[in-house]
Amino acid sequence: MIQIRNLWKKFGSRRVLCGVDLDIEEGETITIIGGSGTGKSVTLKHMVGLMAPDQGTILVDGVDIAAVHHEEELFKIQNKFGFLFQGAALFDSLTVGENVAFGLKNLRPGVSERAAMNVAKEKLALVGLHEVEHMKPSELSGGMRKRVGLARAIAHDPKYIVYDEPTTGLDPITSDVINELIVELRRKLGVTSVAVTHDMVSAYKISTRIAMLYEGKIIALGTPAEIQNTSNPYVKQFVTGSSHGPIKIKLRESD
Amino acid sequence: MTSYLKERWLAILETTGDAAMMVGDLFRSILKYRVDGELFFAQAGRIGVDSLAVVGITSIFVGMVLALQTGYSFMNVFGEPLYVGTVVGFSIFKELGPVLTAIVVAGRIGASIAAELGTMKVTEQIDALYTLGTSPTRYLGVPRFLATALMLPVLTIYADFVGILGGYIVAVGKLGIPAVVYWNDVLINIDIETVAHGLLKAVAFAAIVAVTACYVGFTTSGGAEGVGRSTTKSVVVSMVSILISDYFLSAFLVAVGIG
Ligand SMILES: Nc1ncnc2c1ncn2[C@@H]1O[C@H](COP(=O)(O)OP(=O)(O)OP(=O)(O)O)[C@@H](O)[C@H]1O
Ligand SMILES: [Mg+2]
Repeated sequence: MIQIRNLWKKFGSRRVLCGVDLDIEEGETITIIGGSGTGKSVTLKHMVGLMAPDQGTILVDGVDIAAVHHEEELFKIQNKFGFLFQGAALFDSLTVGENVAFGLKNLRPGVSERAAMNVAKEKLALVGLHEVEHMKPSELSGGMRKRVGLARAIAHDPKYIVYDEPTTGLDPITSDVINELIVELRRKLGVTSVAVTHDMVSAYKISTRIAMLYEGKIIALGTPAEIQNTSNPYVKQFVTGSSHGPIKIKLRESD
Repeated sequence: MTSYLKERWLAILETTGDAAMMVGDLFRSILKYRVDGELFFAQAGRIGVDSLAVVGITSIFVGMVLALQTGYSFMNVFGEPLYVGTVVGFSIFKELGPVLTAIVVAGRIGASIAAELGTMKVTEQIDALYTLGTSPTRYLGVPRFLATALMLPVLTIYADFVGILGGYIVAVGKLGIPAVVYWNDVLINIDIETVAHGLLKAVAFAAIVAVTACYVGFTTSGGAEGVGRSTTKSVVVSMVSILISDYFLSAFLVAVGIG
């Protein structure tokens, strides 16, 4: 279980998170939605200890990850996570297969090279990629890179999976394959996930609950049905994708 | 003005502190985890291959010009080119071999390490390492640090020989000094301490180059532009640090009787 309590973060003088509270229960998939630049990726990075909060606690299985200063202990917590980065973050110097097998080889020291590669192939097939193990990340399209990133995030069977925009840049059919995969990981393996997405179709399909982040706070939290039928004007405007409503997008500095 | 200086000074202190922490991290990692041989040799090979030609060219011409200048100067003073081998030998083994090699490596290898790690930082590849069971220090820092620490002394030895050879070419070919005189002058004064003096400095310079490049790379921010800034910064900081520390290291080594 991941519990985010009163999380504050600013960069320079720019306040990004102003008291985020969010509990992620075992076995659920929570999706965070919100405008571009509201701090969704920043929130995810705090959950795995890649960023340190200015204030607040993040409890992962009861341990406050922000208060762990012993490197070894921090690694132990971080290794419970699989993380799909928004930009995939594939290692350029390694092949696709080596990328996917990377975590597996580090975290399961007993596993043989051959076995790790087989797992890599299998996970790549799950995201709809075949015969790409020997390619370099620079030879892949944006959507392929994203899927390799996803295969890498799930390769070592982590307890928690964090997806930063899993379907961005994918065609609708491939998106649905990824959605199915995320749902299946939860149903069959009981994986707990946190996703960030702008794709409401995907959000409704994969989530057990949806949270909306606005101006540094979670302003709404509910099941997909609740979010879809919300009366909250902010959430309503966001999920229906309208430029008319209480959320104003700044187009000029003077606005 | 004073507040600006104070701020700069504090920033420098903070950076130095952070870099020192990274050195601590590096050593903890080296002691605690098995060093990945494959990564280490890949780095060592790259450092050697990338630097061999440029170190060789630099050294041969440095040896040549040293012999030329010493020869002409001493001809003016003594009427004949005395002690050319001695001057060339001492200068190269104790100073120019280690210092110039370190500066070439800072420009060639330090820059490429900073650019590589900086790019990995801004594309989140460094972050990705943490959730995949390793850390940037262990997976990227340690192999680069150890490989530089091994290869810089090796390249220095190579530079020493090439430099002496350059001196020989000019001393014998241009100044007309008999070969045995040149070799005698070189060898008679070079003892184990002189060589150790140069090589110990090379190890220290290697640490400067590797730590600077890794630190600057890991703390890169600001996209492609930031990577460019990091690359330049790594070279400038390494070079200045090499030259400043060279004086103090030399004084220290001489004081304890090495060289
Ligand atoms: N390392 C950083 N240094 C400084 N500012 C940062 C950093 N990371 C994020 N920010 C700032 O924090 C804010 C939130 O960024 P974040 O990446 O979390 O947005 P997001 O909600 O994920 O947006 P998107 O949907 O476009 O990915 C942005 O204004 C960004 O400028
Ligand atoms: Mg984001």
